[in-house]
Amino acid sequence: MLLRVLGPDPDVSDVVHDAFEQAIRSLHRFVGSRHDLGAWLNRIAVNVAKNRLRHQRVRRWIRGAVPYETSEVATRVASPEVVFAMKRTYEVLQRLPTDERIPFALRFIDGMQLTEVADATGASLATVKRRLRRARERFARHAGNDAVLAAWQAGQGR
Amino acid sequence: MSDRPEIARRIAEAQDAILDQLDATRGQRRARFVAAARRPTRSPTNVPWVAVGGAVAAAAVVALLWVAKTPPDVVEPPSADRVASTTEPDSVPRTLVLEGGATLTIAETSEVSVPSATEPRVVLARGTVSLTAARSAAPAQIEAGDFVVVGDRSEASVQWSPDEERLAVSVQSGQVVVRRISLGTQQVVVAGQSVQLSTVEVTRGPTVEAPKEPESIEPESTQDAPLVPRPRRARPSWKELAAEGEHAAAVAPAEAKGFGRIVKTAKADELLALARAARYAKSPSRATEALQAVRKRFPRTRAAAQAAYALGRVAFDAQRKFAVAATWFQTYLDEQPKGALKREALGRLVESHRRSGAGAAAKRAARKYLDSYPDGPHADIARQAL
Repeated sequence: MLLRVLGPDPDVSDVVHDAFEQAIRSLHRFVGSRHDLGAWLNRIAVNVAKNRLRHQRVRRWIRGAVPYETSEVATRVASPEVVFAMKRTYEVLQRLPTDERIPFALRFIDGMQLTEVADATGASLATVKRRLRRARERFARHAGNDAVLAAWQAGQGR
Repeated sequence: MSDRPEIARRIAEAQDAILDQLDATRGQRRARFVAAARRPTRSPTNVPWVAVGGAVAAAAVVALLWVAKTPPDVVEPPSADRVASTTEPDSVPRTLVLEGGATLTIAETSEVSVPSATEPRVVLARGTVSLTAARSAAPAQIEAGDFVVVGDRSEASVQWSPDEERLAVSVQSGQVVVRRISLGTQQVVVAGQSVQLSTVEVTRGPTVEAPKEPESIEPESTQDAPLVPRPRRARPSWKELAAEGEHAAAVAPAEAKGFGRIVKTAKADELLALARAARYAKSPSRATEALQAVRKRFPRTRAAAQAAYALGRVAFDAQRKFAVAATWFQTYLDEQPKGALKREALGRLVESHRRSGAGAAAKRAARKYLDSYPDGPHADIARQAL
């Protein structure tokens, strides 16, 4: 889930580690059955992702925009056009507010149900729907200016 | 989901494939990162503000901004197992912001590693660091050889010379606690005081000004815990500590000695012990590093197979990467089909496949398990997988 939200972040495995460490530290506060554990972990992961995105945003502000680097792994396991589109997608997602980016990634990239997105982000279903609608509009607007993503949107990217 | 764009679905597929590959490349990536951290020259496109003018401008920006715990001369926020090093003579001091807000300035020719991204703790392998722990910052911990310096609401500089095993602490404001791990002793150094300590002798430097009334970091421990009076004994090495089951304590001297150097030179059984210590000390990345070294340096040996099994355990228990864990358990079984850990490896393989959602693979492994160990500890899980 963190990979979906953060994209090709070279430190994503460290972020995952942080999320599990936080979960272990807060395990005593967990109330619910083991069926609720997954949702609880998702909420922790979303909080960790928010912190990470906030940090990235500050660093970008200071250093200027840094394009996502395409990892060697990505180029080995996926077709070049998908890798390129993935890079462009996350560069566009950088421009979305965190409260829109996270639901967008969970819903459309991870494929979560709306209720799951609401649960993971701690927002109501109505709020999630509203944020998703805005995120889609904003994403479409930015993607429309990008030749690669525009081709995908028009169904010509594959 | 009908409204899911095609590109999003394809990205998710690519990411799933990347996840499967990530662990295999993790060691290489880390090595590249460390190499980059040791490189003194910085990319002008990435850190243009290193230039004096840029730094001043960035400082102004950051001061206005808010939140950025990250001051302008900060190279990277600390992350697990990263190494900051300024070993080149022309390099400039670097600043790290630790978890909790304390900042650490690393002087030239110093080496510092950050073993955990979530703890305000660093290991000083050599050189000098200056600690600034503001009132709001969490207490920060600097480990140097057998010593641990804990600073809370204080400014202090800490110098560690590993060759002489000598620690020098100078406190500018507030107070710090200096602990000696092996002897279990500690002492408080207050503002204006400087002390020099070593594992073979203890000397107190001249007091710059009258010590202020100590604030209560740990009041009960400050009066009756001199460093000298207890009988000296040899400082235990990481090997001895690991052998005694003092896992967390074993990792600190290994870090101080240079984890990277140990990984390159230690014997296979020593690396397995070090990895075990790191695993129990909740440092899966260090454990992985030691185990990958066994795989690389001692290929086609029983130790390499044991390392594969242990890598599976790290991936399963600490990293929750079940698909990766399955690969390692399968590697062990391939390399040691009649090995002593066969039952455990096969059982964990079933569990890993199940948790990673690989139902067909889980069934195959479960059949093998039940054929060989119908009453084994994983028999119930294997039956559930069928």
